[in-house]
Amino acid sequence: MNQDFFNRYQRQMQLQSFGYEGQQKLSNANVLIVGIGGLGCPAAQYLAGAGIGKIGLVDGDKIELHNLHRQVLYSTNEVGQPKVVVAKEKLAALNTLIEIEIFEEFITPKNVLTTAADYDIILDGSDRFETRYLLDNYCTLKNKIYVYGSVFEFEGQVALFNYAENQISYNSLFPDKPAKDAIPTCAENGILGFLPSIIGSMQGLEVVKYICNMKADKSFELIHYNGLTQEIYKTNASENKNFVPPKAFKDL
Amino acid sequence: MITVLYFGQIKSITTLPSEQITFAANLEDLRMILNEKYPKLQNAHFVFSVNKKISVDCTLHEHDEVALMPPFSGG
Repeated sequence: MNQDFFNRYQRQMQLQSFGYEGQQKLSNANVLIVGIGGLGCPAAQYLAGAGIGKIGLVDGDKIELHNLHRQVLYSTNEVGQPKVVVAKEKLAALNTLIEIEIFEEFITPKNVLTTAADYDIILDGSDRFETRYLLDNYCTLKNKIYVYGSVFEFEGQVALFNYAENQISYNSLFPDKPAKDAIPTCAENGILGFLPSIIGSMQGLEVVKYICNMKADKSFELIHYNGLTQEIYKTNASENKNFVPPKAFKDL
Repeated sequence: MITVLYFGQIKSITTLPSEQITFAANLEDLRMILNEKYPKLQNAHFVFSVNKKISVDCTLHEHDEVALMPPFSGG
């Protein structure tokens, strides 16, 4: 280990429950972030800063002017450029000790197997149900961690699915997939940048806690955050009575 | 009394963050009461959480807290 390593990470290694051991765990870990937008940007920035050894970035979108109020990783003069290309450049400049792989595409049933193959943790920064159900189903089949985060106006949700012994999946929790237009998106209902920033950071924190075995509560938790009241409401599920088996890949 | 909490798009339907319901024997009973009060809930997606535990079907008691948790999709 070189001096750069100790210098760069000294403030987090000073945490007694984290230490050099925690840092090594992060260096050996990998996370695929699907969607480098409102949730994915803060998650990617802090996970890169924290020193996740390998980060994959998946997004087929180009930067648009109306992204910038909440996707502050990007700059005005980068409008029109692919998000993953710009994100990689900035994250690589932020942390020279990590590997960053990019996929300029949207995740689909056709490419999920190859795109996500090398990753153990899948962080969902997407903004559509199709992707959420697909990633969760993939993670259940492959026994990977699905890091869910989403926002609605001033509220947000975070959860780790397929975590530890309890095999609670997003598909099991919400077995009836809403129709595409059933629930308004940020594009329709509007959003302040702070909300996805908080939720994306919470997803990143859950990832680090999982990798470093620092989670206080090992059972499944669905975390609900309200930005207007600054309140968190957590519900858990000790056993999964309505387990929905994952679909086979041919049925995705 | 049972306290019922509403989140996300469910709160948009009820226009209230929470309310007290005098009596509901179980979750199915509560669902019928709420559907009658807020017809749009019939097509809404949510899971029940009773006293902060995800529940599919259970008996309700005085002072129970039931939350209607919908999935969000924004990101």
